[in-house]
Amino acid sequence: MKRTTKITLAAFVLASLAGCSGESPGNDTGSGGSAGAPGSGGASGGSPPALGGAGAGGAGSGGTSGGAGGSGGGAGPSCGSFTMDAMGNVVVPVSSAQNYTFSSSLTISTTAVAPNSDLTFDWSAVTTDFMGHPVDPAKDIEHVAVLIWEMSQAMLEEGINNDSLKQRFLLTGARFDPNDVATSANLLSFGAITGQPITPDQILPFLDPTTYPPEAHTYLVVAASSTEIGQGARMLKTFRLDPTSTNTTVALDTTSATLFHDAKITTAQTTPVPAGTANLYVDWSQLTTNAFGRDFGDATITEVMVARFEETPAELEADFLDLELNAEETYRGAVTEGESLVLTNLTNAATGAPFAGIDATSTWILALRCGLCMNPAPWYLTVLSACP
Amino acid sequence: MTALRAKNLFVLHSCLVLGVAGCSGEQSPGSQGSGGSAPVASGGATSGSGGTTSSGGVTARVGTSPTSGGMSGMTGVGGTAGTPGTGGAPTSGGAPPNGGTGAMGGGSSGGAPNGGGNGGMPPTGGSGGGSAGSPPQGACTIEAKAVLSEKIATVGIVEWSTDAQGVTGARIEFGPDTSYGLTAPVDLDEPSYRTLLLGMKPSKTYNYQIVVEANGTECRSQNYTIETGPRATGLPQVEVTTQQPDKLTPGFTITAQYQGTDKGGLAYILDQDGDFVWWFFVQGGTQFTRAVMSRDGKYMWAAKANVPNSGAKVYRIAMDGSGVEDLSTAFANQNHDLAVLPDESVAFIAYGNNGCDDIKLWSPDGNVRTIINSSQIASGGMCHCNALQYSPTDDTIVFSELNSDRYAKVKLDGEVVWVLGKGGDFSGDGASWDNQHGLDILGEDRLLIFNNGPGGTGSRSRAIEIALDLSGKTATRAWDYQGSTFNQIMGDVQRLPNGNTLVTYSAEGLMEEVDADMNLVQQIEFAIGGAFGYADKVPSLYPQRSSSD
Repeated sequence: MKRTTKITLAAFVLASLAGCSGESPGNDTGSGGSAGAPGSGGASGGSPPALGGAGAGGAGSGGTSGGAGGSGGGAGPSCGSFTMDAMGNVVVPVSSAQNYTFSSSLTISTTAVAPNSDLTFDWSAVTTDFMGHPVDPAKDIEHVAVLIWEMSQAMLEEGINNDSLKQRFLLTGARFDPNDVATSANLLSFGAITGQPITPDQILPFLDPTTYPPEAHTYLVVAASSTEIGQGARMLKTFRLDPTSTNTTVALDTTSATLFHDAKITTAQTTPVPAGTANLYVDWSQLTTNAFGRDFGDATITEVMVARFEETPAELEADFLDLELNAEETYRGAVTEGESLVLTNLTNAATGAPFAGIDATSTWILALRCGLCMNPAPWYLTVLSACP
Repeated sequence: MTALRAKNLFVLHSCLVLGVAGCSGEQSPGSQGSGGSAPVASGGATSGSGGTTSSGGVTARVGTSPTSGGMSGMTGVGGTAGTPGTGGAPTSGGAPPNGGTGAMGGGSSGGAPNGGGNGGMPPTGGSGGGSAGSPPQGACTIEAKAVLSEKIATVGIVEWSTDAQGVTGARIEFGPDTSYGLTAPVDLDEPSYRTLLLGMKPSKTYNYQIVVEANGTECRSQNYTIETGPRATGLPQVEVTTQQPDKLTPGFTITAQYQGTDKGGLAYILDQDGDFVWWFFVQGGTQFTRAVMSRDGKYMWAAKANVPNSGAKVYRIAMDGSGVEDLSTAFANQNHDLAVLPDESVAFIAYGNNGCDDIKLWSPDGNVRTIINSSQIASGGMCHCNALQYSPTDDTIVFSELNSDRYAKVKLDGEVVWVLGKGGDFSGDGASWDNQHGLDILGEDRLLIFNNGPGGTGSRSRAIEIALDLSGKTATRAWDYQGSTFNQIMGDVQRLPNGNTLVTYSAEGLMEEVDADMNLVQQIEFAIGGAFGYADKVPSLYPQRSSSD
């Protein structure tokens, strides 16, 4: 019998549970590096036009001046006067009020299986992933992993949701590489996560419910479009050791996991920046919480992204999971240290062209991403509004 | 005297031209006199608070943190402490401000050209040295400048000069305040006495003072400050809980990230608070299992697991981050572990041609030779060596062969001294276990091992101290600690100078320090993705640092 368990997740990258998140390439040459001290704060004066209609307390165009409102609109930074840092860069106002909000939940189904068995894992029916994107199960799945957690499913859910999972609770795991051929495999054909072969006695004992009570252990199967453990999860499923079960197959399909998400971009204040200006200094050191409402942490942001869209913010909001796919241009910059970056450090991911500033003809967003986090959704995302 | 005057004029000139803050012309009374020569400092920052949990590695967010491109910290000229005062009443005056503009910034140095703070002039407030047995304070001028490493924001690089004659030694005392606490020995052969300040936390201001030994006296510079840069991104998140702060072993833990990062292979050092004080990402590196410093303290070796064999990755990283040597070719087929010997040669494990690993020795001249093939000590079949350590007392190597559940001690000429483990030379409860990795040699007749334990049984990994009766050929478990969790891959142990034991559950991203009574002293837990390799806690990041030597 299937039991559906709702997991609140940050994790379409459940993948990154066991390994690196494989985010933007950094380098050890320090392409980032902050400029000098930021200026004294945001702009004053009238508030910028609200997006797509006012959110709660939204200011609307030409609203009154004032301090930053609460989340969901209100008077915010304006095109008035920008401050400059010591290096002559324009200081971009950054605040929680300008940050979008994001929440997500992943529903993962569970199958009961017979303990101590050479289980069969079948992903041939995974023709769409949990985000609704098409998948070729033969060609797109580059590894399948079985990850055994030393915690209940509820605890795993909580840890995923809070991005608070500790390495010590990952008891062990195994992986299989289909090599563009297989769409199913038996457990004993899996190898260790680190790549070396394993023997039956190295894995089957972990499928004993007497030693590993189901209430305190969770068995997670991940089919991924990456050779690296921890990256590119396309479908997930859990299985539960049940002495009364004779089932020895764990079959993944299009409904094994489903992601629900809610991104609110339009209710946040926009961020005004001078049009056509690349030397924009972004300092997020004063942010205390991220878009998910959790602590911002220290040195967690590894990438700054600016992207241009033809869609309106409301359309981006509605199609948030395809945000990067829909971008007309994407500029990325690695953050190698600290909590600030000048956007002249951003380059176009496709062409290598340097970021040259925004214009008023498209929708531009600025996003801050945590490369080591399970949740790939940006910790900070704001719509940039071009000031003349 | 003429030279002295010239230096002072230069100082004044610099102050006037550069308009550097701090050029007030006030006398530099020097720092609080600590008197005498301090031994190489152990430890670093203060221990954490008891029983509380803090997020290790969290530093204050500094919006104004400087660039990583080598912000210059304090520089300053002159301002040595004067002759011993009447009691070394500490003074804090004279410390130049932060954020110098580059070399030869303006430290306060005394207003008069032959003036105050430059030797021979007893400053107000005295400058210490009054303690019994301390070398008398001499008179000299010391000029220093400091910058941060361009690659590692917590590494300071100090260059200095002195007019003292007959210099026989020098050190730099540094710390978060003018009581310092850390000591960097100076290699007098280094150009400009170039010395690294290691062990500093990110985004913090540190004080430092240069102490010169000459003609039986000591001469101290004024106090300078340097501000470290921010923590790098991409470092694992850690959570530190110190259950018994009074028992915590001071020092620094050296290890490497086992799981790959998008910035390359990562070697790093934590201080006793769990803060990152050194890190380096190696492009092209990944899955590091071992990071260990060279004996001269100038390099960090880092090596990949290389299991299964996909090509060795062995690097030697300059501690100031200025360069990385890829020595993978020289260490062909290296896997799991390597150990640095006192002469800077490196013993390592390498895949052999017969399904069993070799133990090899790389020499600084580039020569590589095989010490032994592990088939000579294994119980048959394929071998899988996974750890090794050098024993300085008898110039031998002890290594682990996992498939046989054995450790073997061999001389450098390959002669087998003993085999410990199943079917080996010893009997007793200390001669048998299931699965092992790291070890720590406690003496010629005693060692500590990380016993992974059998997987799939629900058992927890153990740290076992084994006492060997070399004549009676018995092995006894002298201390047997059941760990907090089961760790299947890697794992390490180390006996610390105060009797505590560091137990490293590598794949579980967990380090525990326990006391002799097996009570937790400190736990460091890593967030998911933070699995690491072998770990070594050392009292100092400078030579003569190893706790097992």
